[in-house]
Amino acid sequence: MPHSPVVIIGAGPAGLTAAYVLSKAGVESIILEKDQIVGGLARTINYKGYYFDTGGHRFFTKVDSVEKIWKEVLGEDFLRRNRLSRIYYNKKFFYYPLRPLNALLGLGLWNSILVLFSYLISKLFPSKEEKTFEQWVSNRFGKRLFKLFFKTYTEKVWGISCQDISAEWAAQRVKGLSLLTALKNAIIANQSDQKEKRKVIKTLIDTFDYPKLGPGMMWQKVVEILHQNGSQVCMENEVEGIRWSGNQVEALEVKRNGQVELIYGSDFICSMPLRETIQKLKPQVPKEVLDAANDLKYRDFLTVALIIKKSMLFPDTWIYIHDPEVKVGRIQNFKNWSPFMVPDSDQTCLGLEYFCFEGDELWNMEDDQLIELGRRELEILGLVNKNDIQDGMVVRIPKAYPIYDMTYQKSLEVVRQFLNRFDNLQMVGRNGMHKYNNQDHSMLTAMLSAENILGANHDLWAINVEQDYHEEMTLAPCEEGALDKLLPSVFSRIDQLGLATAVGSVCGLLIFFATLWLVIRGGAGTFYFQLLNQYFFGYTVSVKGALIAMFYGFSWGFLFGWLFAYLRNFLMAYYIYRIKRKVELLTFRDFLDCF
Amino acid sequence: MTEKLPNDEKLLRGVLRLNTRVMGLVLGIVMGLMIFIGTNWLLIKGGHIAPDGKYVVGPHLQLLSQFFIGYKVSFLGSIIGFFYGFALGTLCGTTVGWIYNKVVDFRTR
Repeated sequence: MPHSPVVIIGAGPAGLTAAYVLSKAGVESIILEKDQIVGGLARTINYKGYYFDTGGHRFFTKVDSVEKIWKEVLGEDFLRRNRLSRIYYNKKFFYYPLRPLNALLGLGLWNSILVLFSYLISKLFPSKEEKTFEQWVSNRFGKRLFKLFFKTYTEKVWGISCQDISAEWAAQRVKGLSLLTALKNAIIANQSDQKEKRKVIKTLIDTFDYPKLGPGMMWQKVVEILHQNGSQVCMENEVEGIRWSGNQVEALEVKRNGQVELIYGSDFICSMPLRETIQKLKPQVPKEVLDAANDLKYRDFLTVALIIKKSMLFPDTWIYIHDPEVKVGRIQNFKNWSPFMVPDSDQTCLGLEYFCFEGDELWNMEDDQLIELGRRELEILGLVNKNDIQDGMVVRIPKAYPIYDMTYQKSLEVVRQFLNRFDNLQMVGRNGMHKYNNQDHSMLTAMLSAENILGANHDLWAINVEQDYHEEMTLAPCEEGALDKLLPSVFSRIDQLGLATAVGSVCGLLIFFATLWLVIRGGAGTFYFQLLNQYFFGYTVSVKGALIAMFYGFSWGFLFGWLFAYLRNFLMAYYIYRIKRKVELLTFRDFLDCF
Repeated sequence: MTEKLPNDEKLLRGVLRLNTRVMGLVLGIVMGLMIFIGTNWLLIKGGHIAPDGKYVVGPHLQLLSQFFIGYKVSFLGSIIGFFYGFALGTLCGTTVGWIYNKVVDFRTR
């Protein structure tokens, strides 16, 4: 009857990171992995010396503790790579975000004019409703650009029409920065220390680290370290049941060599998909929890890796395929990720990524048929001559992406509430939390779960609620607090009636007293002051004239004050709108990466 | 769509308040400087000989002396004018700020 203080389900980035942190603290753990390969969604496949990454995993993070682990484990085995990932459409490459000249040359003059008109129409007559993804993007970029660069790819990735994807989903992908944050960024962006930070952030966006032999290299190395420290990584060990009682998980039923064994532990960390976790709890959970778990959906994908007799095909690390006549959604060029992933420099290795649902037509196709499909589509795209393709293999990745549909939030909340009862079970990672995060955030949740076992008290669900906006500036808390107070008082609107009344009153009184003064004192100035009647009909330097002048002064002052306030409010609103828009577009830069 | 945060609410719904002291100070300095620079500009530019043979500099600006006793189009006068301008500007600015804030208070009550 094996017993370990900590039992971890899943040897992906999350599970292995948790075990790694625990082992550093002297706590041994058992890691159970149902597959033959470690790395989970970030695994690397070795086929005849060719290394395939399933999905393309950039190693870049703003989380220092994650970066530290990467460097600790792989050190010199990281390569610094420049990022180039373009859209391939109609046999042409387009930069993303779009660059005007590149788009003009790629689309042609006529198409570019139509795109521009469509954009203008969307600005002048936007859809009043923004319920669907289609409306959301069209309102921002125009219908034509939406059809060219968003519709096909999005539908390939998610397998549903853009009209059925909620606008909320798109808004979630483009982090909704508050107006105040946008203003703060705009104001402090020009400070010298922030300029330095921007440089670092830009580097983070345009370059990334990558292990020489793909992300799997990282996780293989972690497994070696864990073995040295006394932890066990058990491959082909599928968890079939999770026995629980009260607020404790007691043991796992694990299938090993065809037999089911019980594994006990004091603490459990689980990176298994939430739906499966709930389904495997014994005794069975209440029906409403089970129904909620069953409502959580996933999108799967498969990679057709093809070895091609060409030393160079395109310089991009990956390309997005927007052509509707092919099924492939994205093509990875593994040699450009790392030259070490291809053993022969005269060859290139491409990974054609097809997004599908487990069990659908594409998923169920024979490997040979899929390889043939890949060959055919590469030729249709004009990227590769069919005869240059020498070999290939297929890797299927189930549950690659948790689906954020209209009901997932409600269902997730029900599941979370139920799982919160367990004192010794923590859910981590992308599928374990049904959270669309990157590798670094999966690792962070795992690190914090390990720290919880060591005595800390982190709320894992509070991490990465929203993806960080890369361009976002950071400030000291005291500065941030001061700006939070100051900005609303500076950028709020001026009360037009208030300013008009105030300026009108002061102008009226000023001219009233000036006239009275001259009435009392007399002198040469009277003649010149009298000239005011050129504008103020009926005005004279007299008591009656003073009253008339007060009325005129008030009226003109009122008008001036009102106009000033109106223009100031208008310009301020326009300024805020521009900043907000700019920020929204900057965050859109990584939109395609969110798939 | 994106939920508006409480701070955004402050920004969108808030009404600007004027700091009466700052308003007074700013308008005071602006008016004071206008008279000071305006006077000295005329001095640098020079005047002309009037039909009665007198050398006259800035006869129209000189009319300010009707209100600002002691003011002249001279360097000393520019300093005196600065103080008058500053005082009047401060008074006007403070009054504008005070009335504005009162109206805002009344309207947002």
